[in-house]
Amino acid sequence: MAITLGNASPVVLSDPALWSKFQSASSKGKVGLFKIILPVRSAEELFSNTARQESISNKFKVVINGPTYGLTAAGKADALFGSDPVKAEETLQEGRIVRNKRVIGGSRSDMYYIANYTGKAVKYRFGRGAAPTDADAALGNMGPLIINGLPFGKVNKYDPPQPDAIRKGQPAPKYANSLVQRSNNRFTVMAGEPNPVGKIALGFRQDKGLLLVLVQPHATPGINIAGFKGVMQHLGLNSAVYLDGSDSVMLMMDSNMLISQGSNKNETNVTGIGFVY
Amino acid sequence: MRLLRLFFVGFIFIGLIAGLLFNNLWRFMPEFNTLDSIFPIPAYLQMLFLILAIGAGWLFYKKASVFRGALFMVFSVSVILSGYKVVISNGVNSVTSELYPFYHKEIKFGAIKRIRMDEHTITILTASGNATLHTGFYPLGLDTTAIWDTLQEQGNCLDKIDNQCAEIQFASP
Repeated sequence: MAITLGNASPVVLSDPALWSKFQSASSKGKVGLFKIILPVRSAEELFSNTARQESISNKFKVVINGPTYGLTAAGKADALFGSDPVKAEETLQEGRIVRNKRVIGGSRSDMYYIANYTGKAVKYRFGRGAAPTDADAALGNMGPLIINGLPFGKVNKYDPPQPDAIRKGQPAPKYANSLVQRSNNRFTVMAGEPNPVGKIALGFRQDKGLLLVLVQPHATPGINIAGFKGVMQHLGLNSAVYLDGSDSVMLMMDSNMLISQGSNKNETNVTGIGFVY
Repeated sequence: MRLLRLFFVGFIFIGLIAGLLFNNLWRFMPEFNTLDSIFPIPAYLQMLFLILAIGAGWLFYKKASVFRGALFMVFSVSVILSGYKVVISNGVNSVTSELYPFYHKEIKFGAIKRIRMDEHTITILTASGNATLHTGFYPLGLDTTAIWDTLQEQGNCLDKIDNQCAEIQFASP
């Protein structure tokens, strides 16, 4: 499995010098100073074309795919028959898409978001619910791995143990301070997927101001979502979210496609995340 | 008259096949269902109803009779109803029951408070009211046990009857 850094060099996770290598690449390539711009497909074109055009015009260093989405019945039929792009309006984008402090699409989602605030210093915020509309860029419907220091998993965990507290969902306020892991149903479903299922996650380390994109291409030997979380925890990230996986996983660097989406996903995907210095 | 019957039967068949296809698109594109749990009428039953409808339609075309016409309509309706399914999606965060293009009901996870299980219905309690999912009689209907097992995994059991969970508090997100 590879962690793609500023120079797209693969690294071995068990390498004890992993973090220092990452930092070294980061300082050379200014990986940590990215701001986010969201490429959105509005025409009847393949998402790879949208990503490439926006990558060139915005000078993206990296472009990845966005969160999970739905399709209308007509959209599904269009995707099944032929390899032509599906009309953007047939894709049901879950999670708000915020660009330049304006909601440009997507429905409200109760899942998790990433928000980017530019200005004097690039800032990232992670949270639950609707993506904030005051952000320069924000995207909702993300799956949580770690949110503001709290890791996620199949069930709630408490320290000290709380026998009366609920296993799943938001615990009562009196148990909040004991919560050391929060449950999430999407995490539970993802945890049941075989390891080769593609995954892509985005994480942030506050003290170093560094943003990390972690990619496992689809249908390659890999690790499960708990392992993905473990990598993020190992790297000391404060927050991390995962996007649409399986063959939706896409990675473009310097306008060159490194990892392509499956054909049906390329025909239907509407949103991605672009990173620019 | 025979030509009229041919047109009528042909029109119905095209509709049945199109309806079956639209309600089973998910089978041909599993990559879109990674985070979904889908509960349909079994595929073999859908095919059986279609074959029976084809047979009844052929009989009706060859020689019209009220009995053969009624048989054709009964099996055609069976084909239509066999497209019904329930989808629990952690991708778009909703519980959906649908029979395209006639019926579609979607309840977002965020709106669900509790879910109650009865013999052939699942009642979803939301802030704005209750919604009922009819599951019928398996295998002519949906696998209620499988649906309930999936829903239980996504919440906390509130009430047990005969040691079986009868009501859950839905946990979202």
